[in-house]
Amino acid sequence: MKFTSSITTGSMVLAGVLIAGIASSTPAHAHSNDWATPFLGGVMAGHILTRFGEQRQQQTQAMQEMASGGGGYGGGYGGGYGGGYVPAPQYYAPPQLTPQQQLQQLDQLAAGGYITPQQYQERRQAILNGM
Amino acid sequence: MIRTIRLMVAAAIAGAATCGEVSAQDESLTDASLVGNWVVNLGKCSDANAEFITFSKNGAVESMRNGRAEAAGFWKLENDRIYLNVLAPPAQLDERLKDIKGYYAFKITIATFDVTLDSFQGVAVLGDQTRYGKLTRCKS
Repeated sequence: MKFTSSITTGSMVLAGVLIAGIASSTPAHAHSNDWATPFLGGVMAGHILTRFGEQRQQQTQAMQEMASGGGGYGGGYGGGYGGGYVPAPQYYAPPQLTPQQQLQQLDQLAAGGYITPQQYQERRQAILNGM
Repeated sequence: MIRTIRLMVAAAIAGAATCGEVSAQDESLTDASLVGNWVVNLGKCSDANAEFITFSKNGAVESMRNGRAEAAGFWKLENDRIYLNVLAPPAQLDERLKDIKGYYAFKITIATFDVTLDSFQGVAVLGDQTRYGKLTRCKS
């Protein structure tokens, strides 16, 4: 009888300790999260990296379509930015852009639909000729 | 006698644990409680290189990491979600983005949970990207 009551009591203490342990451990420890990873910086950087990857692919496809002469253009490349981020005006434009930077800027203009494919080609050729 | 004491200890531990869990779930973020300086994840308030997010009473928000401002903009709290409209320089966010000039605008949503008086956890969502973070209030 004494032995049985001792087991019962022991089980209850164990249960109490277990409950306390579960309660004190935050859900954070259940995640396999890298604590060193930046929170806001990480989500923004990750988003840009993935969006730029997609954008490059779309530009390449558009260029390939243009080169092969197929397919009509319906309002610029890419189809715009969907809710994630929007390119803001560049407040600190360098005074002298390198040809590579000029080409990148041109790519961005084309991706945003600000210039026509013809304008893009002309300007691109002009930059390349100036190298 | 011993049995009684053990029972009381077990009940106290279980009770305390349960009360703690309930009070944590009862807390909810408000505009007033969100205002302040928060350190992210395992960072310490005294460590200038840690990641900090400062929510100001006037609706401005600033994110800082490694002692530099990383993003700045506006915040809004609705239904336990924090909506951020911020401007950030990609070149500063990641080594792979170092060639991107200028500033970009981001709309980030942080879904919050496990809110206590001085901490909360959140998942930041931006497009297809998500990041988990625990924010702890810095007293000063």
